[in-house]
Order: sequence, then structure tokens, then C-alpha cells
Amino acid sequence: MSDVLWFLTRSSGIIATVLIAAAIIDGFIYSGREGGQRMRPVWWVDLHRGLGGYALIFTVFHLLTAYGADLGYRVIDIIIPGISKQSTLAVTLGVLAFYAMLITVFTTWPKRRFRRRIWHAIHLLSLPAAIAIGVHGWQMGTDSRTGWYIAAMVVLTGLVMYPAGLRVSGLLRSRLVMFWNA
Amino acid sequence: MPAPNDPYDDIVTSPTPDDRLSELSARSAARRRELELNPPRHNGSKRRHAAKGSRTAALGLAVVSTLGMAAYLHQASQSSGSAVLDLATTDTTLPPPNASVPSSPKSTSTTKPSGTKSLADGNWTGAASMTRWGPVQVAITVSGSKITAASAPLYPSDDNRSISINRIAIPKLVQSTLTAQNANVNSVSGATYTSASYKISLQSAIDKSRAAS
Repeated sequence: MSDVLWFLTRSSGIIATVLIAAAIIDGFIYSGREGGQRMRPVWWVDLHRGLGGYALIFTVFHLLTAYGADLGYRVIDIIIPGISKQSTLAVTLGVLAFYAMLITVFTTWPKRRFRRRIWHAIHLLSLPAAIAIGVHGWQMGTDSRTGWYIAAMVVLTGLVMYPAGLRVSGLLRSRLVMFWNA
Repeated sequence: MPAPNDPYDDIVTSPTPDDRLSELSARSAARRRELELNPPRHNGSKRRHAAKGSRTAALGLAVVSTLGMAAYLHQASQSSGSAVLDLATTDTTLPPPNASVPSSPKSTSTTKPSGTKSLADGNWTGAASMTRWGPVQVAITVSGSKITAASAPLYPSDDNRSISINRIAIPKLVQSTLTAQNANVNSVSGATYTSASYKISLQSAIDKSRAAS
């Protein structure tokens, strides 16, 4: 049974990473108004919220299976960052990223209660969380040295960086226009 | 002249703004009462999802991918394990990359317990089992039909990552061996391949000890 859970731990961790990347890509496409004519913005934002929620569900599943697989982690190791005795840095990054995901997802639903700037700052926690997840996977992942994993992560990084680049360039362009018009 | 069916034509023809305002308030109140009596099927309590189909597809794809990937990883692990078992059966001793290892499984058996399935005392070295990162070989010391010491004279150490992983994993596997007293030891997170090969080599050493008893 613990072997089955161990394989599910590995696969759910990888799929959670893909879902997080997909949510971030969707978020950049939506916020950068790069969604095109075919899909309305509300479609992009709804899909973005769905992907974020699923990523959180898969991350919880990843934690539960990791605990159930009898890998030597205590409950406290996956609750309090920095106290795990094995792979301390990688586990700490994973725990912190999990908390960042929780905050990001659960502040999306009561979004209107926050001031927009505050909500936006909180929501941007998802970006360092994604980086922490990448490092966590690279350091701890059993499959992180396999060719298919490296190829998948390179493709995923490229897919995230493209809309991120569009978003940042759009932001800079609008700031420049504001600057010149002022 | 307003166009026919213009929704604002009655606004234009309202007698005074105050009359119009009271009329709109009355309409609004009537609408609220109507909503209270006959609430719509999709009101605020049930959110409508613009991307419902895509979300469902994403969730389905994620679940199927997780299960499929778990099955693939299991399959890959099994095929790796069968290669190792073949190696163990033929008792091939792999050339040690960085560690000095006994050239063949050795035994310095001293006493033999009476039970056929108990372990014979002595030092026993299991067959090296291959991982994709290098071979793993386990040596055990049996005393009084109990495993009193275990070590891994051979493990993947060709690169810094392997060294750092196995520096942590091997002591845990050794400790687990002494606790379990059999090859059913807990795998170490982040050292799956080493753990799997360790178990196989350990089982090989235990089998040799049993065979000698």
C-alpha cells in the first residue's frame, strides 16, 4: 500500500506543479488582456480560479500521500517549516509554497473585501510560491534527474515565461505612455 | 419621436421626475418581492462558471494524468527491479566505482542455528543490484540469528547529488534494517532507486545466510 501511495505522491506532485504553472499562465493571459477575441475575459478568469483550486487540491493530496507512504515525515514536519530532519531546505520550501498557495486561493474568493492593491500584492505570492515549488521538486524529486522530467520542466518554464514576458512588456509600455503623457 | 419598443420612451413621457422616481421605487420593491417568492434557479448561492467545460476537462485530465503517471512510474520501477533481480540471481559482482568492496559474497560462518529458516551467523554480502545511477550492495553481520550490523559498501557515488542523497539515505536504510530484521525496510524519500536496490541486495544477503543455516 505504501508503495502505491509513494507513486501517487510523485505523480500528484508533478501534476500539481503543472496545474500551478497552468494557473499562472492563465493569470498572465487574463491580466495582460492577451486572451484574444474568441474567449471572453470572464472565461479566462474562471478557468484561472479553477486551475488554482485544483492545484491546491492536488497539493493537499500530494501531502497526504507523502505522509501515508511512510517516508519518515511527521505531521509537524509538513506543518511547521524548517523543522524536518531530512531534506530540510526542500521540505521547508514546499511547506512555505503550500501556505502561499493557501493564502492566494482563499483570498481570491473574498476578493472584494480587500483593497485592490493589497489583494494584488497577496495574489503575487503565487509567483515566489511557484519558484519554491520548482526548487522543491528539483531537490527532492526522485524523477528530477530523468530526461523526461527535465524536458517537461524546461517546456513548462518556457510556457510560463512567454505570457509573463507579454504581461511585463505590456505593463512597461503602459507606464511609459503614462510617463510621456504626463 | 422615439423609436418603437424603445425601453426609455416611458421615461420621456413621465409626468415629473418625482413621479418617475416613486414609480421606479415601486417597481423595484415589486421585483424584490417577486424574487423572494420565486427565486431564480441560479442566484447568488450557486455561482455560474463561464469555463465550466474547460474546468471539468482540466480536472479530468489532471486526475487521469496522476493515475497514469503513477502507473508508469510503478511500471518503470518494476522493470528496473527485474533487471536487478536477474543480476542478483546470476550473482554478478559489479566493478566498484569508488568504494572497495569484497570481490565475492563472503561468509565467515561460525555457528548454525537449528531452525532451517533462521539466519546463520557470520558476515554476508548480498549481490550488487543495479540502479540507473549505479550499483548498490549490502553487507550484513548476523549474530545469534539476528542482524546486528548492516552496511552498504557499494552505492551510487559518481556525482555530488548521488553522494549527498545516499549520505543521508544509507544510514536510514541501515537503521531500518536493524529494526525490521528483514528486507521489508522503509523506502527513503528522495532515494527511491537506492532504496529499491538496497532491499534487493539485502534480501540477497539474507537468502545467503538462510541457505547456509
